[in-house]
Amino acid sequence: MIKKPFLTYGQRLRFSKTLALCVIAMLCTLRVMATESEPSRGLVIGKVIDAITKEPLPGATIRAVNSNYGAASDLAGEFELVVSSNVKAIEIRYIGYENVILDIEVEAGAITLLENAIEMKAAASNLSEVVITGVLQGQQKALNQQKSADNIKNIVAADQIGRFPDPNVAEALQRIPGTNIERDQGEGRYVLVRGLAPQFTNISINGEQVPSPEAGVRYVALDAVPADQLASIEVTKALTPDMDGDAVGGSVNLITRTAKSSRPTVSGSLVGGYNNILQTPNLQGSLELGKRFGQDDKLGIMLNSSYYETDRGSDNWETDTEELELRDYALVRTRMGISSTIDYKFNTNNELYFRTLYNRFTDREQRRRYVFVPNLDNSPFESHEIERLTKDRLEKQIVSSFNLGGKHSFPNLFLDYEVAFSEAYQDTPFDVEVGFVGEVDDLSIDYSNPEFPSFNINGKAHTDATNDYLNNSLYEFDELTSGNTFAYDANRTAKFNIGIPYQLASAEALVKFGAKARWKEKSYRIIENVYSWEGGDVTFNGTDGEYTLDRFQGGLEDNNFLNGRFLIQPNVDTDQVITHFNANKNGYELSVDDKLAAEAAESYTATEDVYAAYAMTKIQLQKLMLLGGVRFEQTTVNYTFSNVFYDFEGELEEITPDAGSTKYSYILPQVHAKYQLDANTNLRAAITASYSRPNFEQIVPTQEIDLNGREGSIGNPNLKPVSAINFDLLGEHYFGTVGILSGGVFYKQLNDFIFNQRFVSDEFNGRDLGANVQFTQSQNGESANLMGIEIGYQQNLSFLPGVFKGLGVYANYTFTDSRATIQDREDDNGTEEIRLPGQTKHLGNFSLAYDLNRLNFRISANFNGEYISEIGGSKDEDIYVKDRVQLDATATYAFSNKFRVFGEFMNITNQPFEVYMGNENTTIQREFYSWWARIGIKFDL
Amino acid sequence: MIKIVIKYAFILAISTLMVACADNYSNVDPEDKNYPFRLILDAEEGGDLPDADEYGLEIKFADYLGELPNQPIIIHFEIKDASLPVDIDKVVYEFEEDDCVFERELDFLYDENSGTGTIALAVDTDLETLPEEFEIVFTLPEEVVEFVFEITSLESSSNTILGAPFVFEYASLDNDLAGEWILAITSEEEFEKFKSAFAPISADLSEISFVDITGEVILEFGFEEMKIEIVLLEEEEVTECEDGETETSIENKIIEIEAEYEVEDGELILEGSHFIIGDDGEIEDELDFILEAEYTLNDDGTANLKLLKLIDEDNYEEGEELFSEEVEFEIEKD
Repeated sequence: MIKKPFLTYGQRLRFSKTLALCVIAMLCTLRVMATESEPSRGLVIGKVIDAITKEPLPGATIRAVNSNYGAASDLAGEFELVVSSNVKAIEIRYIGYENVILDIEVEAGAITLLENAIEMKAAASNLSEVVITGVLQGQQKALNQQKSADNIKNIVAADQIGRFPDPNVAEALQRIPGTNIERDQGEGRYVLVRGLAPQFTNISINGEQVPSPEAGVRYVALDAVPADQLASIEVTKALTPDMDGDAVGGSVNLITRTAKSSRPTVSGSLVGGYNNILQTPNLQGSLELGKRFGQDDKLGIMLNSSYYETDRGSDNWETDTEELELRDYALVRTRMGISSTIDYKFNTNNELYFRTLYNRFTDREQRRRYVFVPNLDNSPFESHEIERLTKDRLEKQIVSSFNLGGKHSFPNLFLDYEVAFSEAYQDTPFDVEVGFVGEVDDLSIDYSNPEFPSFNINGKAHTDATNDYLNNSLYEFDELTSGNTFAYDANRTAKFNIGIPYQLASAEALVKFGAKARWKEKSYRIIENVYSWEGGDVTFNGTDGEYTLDRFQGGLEDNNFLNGRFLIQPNVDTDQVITHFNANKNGYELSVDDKLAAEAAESYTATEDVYAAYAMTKIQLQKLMLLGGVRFEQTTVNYTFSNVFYDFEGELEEITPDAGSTKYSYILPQVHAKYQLDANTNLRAAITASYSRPNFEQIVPTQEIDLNGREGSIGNPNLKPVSAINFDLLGEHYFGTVGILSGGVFYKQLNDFIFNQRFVSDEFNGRDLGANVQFTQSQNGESANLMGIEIGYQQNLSFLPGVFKGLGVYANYTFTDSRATIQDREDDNGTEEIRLPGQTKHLGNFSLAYDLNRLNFRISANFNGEYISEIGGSKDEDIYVKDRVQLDATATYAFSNKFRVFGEFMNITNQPFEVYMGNENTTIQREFYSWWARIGIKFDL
Repeated sequence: MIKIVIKYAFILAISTLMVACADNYSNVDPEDKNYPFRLILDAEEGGDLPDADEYGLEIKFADYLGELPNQPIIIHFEIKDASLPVDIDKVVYEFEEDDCVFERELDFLYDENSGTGTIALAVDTDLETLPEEFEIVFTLPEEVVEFVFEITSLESSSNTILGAPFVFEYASLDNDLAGEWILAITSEEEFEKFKSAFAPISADLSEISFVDITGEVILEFGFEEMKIEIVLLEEEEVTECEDGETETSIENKIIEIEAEYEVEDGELILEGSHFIIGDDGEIEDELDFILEAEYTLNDDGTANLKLLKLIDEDNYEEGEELFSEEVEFEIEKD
């Protein structure tokens, strides 16, 4: 349990500065020493592939025999190793494969190219499985990359993603230790790494940050990215200085595919699915083409496309403890991804590449609601009301990125550089909601059953088919809301990295430095029109009379809502109301003030310029690898926005445009150590500094001040990023039969933690408000800390006897605990401690697989513990998402190494999404998705 | 073989792309990108006392965005179902400049025989747009009368349409309390009774005492709305400027209470809203109120008004009422 901050703010500041100075001094000293004692050395370039499949093997460890200094092969299986000219042989290791020792001749000061790729043979115990099904390849690739990495990271290879029934990147990430996800309509959307909210995790594509298509925030909804677009996913939990420093929880990097050989590759999948709640089929397909062309395979082209369409739905009830809502959702979601990589290798040590990625996610949502609003106090000024609303909206998220760069290797220098443009936008071309309202004489709601509430209307139980609430002629038109939004975010980036190998005494080492600039543009605009009806009786569809729901009902009918526990009638058909609107504008009155206020208060534009530079070194001292360095990042933000004021009578008084800017800098020292206990066992430790920028919606000082309500919400231009010092310790043992046992602890001390503060003032920004107003504003100043334990185990149990040797286990568990100090919600002058929002105490995965010849079967459980999703006005109003276990199953049958069929069965136990307020007995939401399934073929020609 | 696979794979990819690019748009979109200006009547119904000789009906643009049109509009109208002949005296709008109000007339044509006519809504030379609102002044026969006024169509080259309501029904007021009544308060005790009923919904009234008033309280019952004016002893200088002529007069200050009312069979119900003033002297909240009363009409032109109960949104349960003491006043028809 964490009682108080490990270090005070002053101590942390001194710690950071001291660490940075030490690292700089170390870099300078080492480089000077190296210059004095540098022997003659040369660069060895080669490629590691599977002897049978000829597939490249990423993450292979290559080192001089009897030395611990080495290099790791990249995703293309290629490596560059600087060794002394005395070296006569190198050794290549790869988990699940037999070690290879290769004799070489190294010429001092020159590049030695290994003409033939180094072919590695799978260890005998796995050979048959690899050849026939390839199911182990993904796991092997991931573990080898993880093992050879300098820092603490988890890697999910594409083949491994395919072993779980995870259609998008967020769902694939939930299988990684210490990672949980927030779901939307049952599908994973946002990723939380190590118990920190999504804004603490940096999302990149090919090493460059992805702009967020959503307004106001930085984090990216990962359900927009199809999982089969990627070669692998890396989750870095301890940053190195050559990485962007704005990631406190972790950094997720999505890596696209590259053409591997002159042999054309054609692979893909065709999948059909079924969603039980809507009883509709869905469709998915992917196709990947790749080939290297020309003499020596200099030109590589890889094209990848995928399309996924699914009908989804959910049945939901929710409450604020007074009003009851019944929500019936129907959605159509599509995901389309197109990516390409064109690379040209001038020779073995000079390469240019151009990577593109385009992802398009659409979400058409239709939401039908009953809202029961009881007149709890029996006020003569109010009545028992039932609202009927239908929302229909299309949301399109487009994320695209273009990376142009090069890599050059010289005997004594490595250089890489890149310019990139990435763009994301969320376009909501239409967002319509139509509401009708009815009044009843009596309405009472009973929440005594926390699973399903019940209600009575005019003396009849809600299960009574003659209940008045089921009569659509009861409901009169209330309002039509129509609008659209457009959020835009774009990054332009330029960077370079230079690596210089050197020798320190007998130790091989590398010094690396580089710089990066990123220019961001972000904006949001909203159109919102609210119309009332002033035209009296209506004539529509051959009937005339009052503007009641029965004339405009239609759309989807759900006769089994919440498994038949509640009866619902067809709701408003928005198309019919819009048809009426278009033909009868004379009767619809636009609420002009509301439109002006809403559009002004939410719209903004911003630019963010980031300049960064770093220096680091890596030294191999026998079995100990030390990596240290420091990174400097400076950020300048400029923005335009509007202030919206309401007068004492609640009327819109004034809208004033405004502009501002903010600037901040960070020095981020980072030290990593990796000690090789034996060939398959590493001990890792890291102390790193990082930070997390505030969301734009928090920093842009948009004001909305309602003098009538004495309330105001304002942005905070002085808001500082959350800074963190992270301590990590991890032990990992890799099994020769493909597997890993790992365990580690981490501790994060967060400074300037951001929370919503309330305060009262009678003036703001020099404006005399004439009354005391309670403001809500994001503020810094409070501290938070978080500690955790991660344990992971995965192994193919091929050592077991008989039929059991086909078993495989994939399991991990993470425990986290956190404390954040915020302003006391009962007493503005005091403080109180809370858990960090998003932090879940227990988190885990357990997956059991069985390989029987050509058949692979896997059942997977994902456990996500309860967490605070929203901090309320008091402890009793904190909103918690309940713990949830999802059970999925998948089976694959390989006809050959070219064709496989598979089936997936997800959310088998129909686990609901459940939310409670304050305490577990006060359930305020239960949403059910039922199960869904997919079946398809995968081919790899 | 590979070539064939690549060929069909390419076709499949293009097909997939085309399917994917087909957006999942709605079947029908709201056509509201350039929402039109809507010319509407200010009310659907109205009326005045039977002896009224004129009545003004306002026509205006509903809430709009941007600048009003700068092109003229011809409004076609019809007066129908009139129980007695009704004429139009003038069509006017007000233009304000330097704190002075100028009345400007609009051209109109009206054919009493057919009951139809037109109004030429012209661009004001100073505003350089159409006026935001204007008034049709009807000449009434000074008898009980009913008629219907309807805007039948518009001729406009700008983005302006005829909005709802476009039909107005006039009917002479015929309820028991219609018109103006005088309540004479002659004693401090009587004023305190009056205050006990109305001060909870008038912060100004709660701050004065008997010595501050003239004793005259005017109750004016119009079309569905009524107004109470408490005339104070304190005077103020009132300056009015119309058509370039400024007049300054000394008038008694007045405290006003406004409400909608329903009257039927000796029962009177007032409904309105009142402001809650905070310690800082500013409006803190606005609450609806209901005042229940009874009345009896006397032969001598007076009426007895018995106030029964006053509640608002925060004080409506039994024992919590703002007023429930039953006080009675005699009011006299003016």
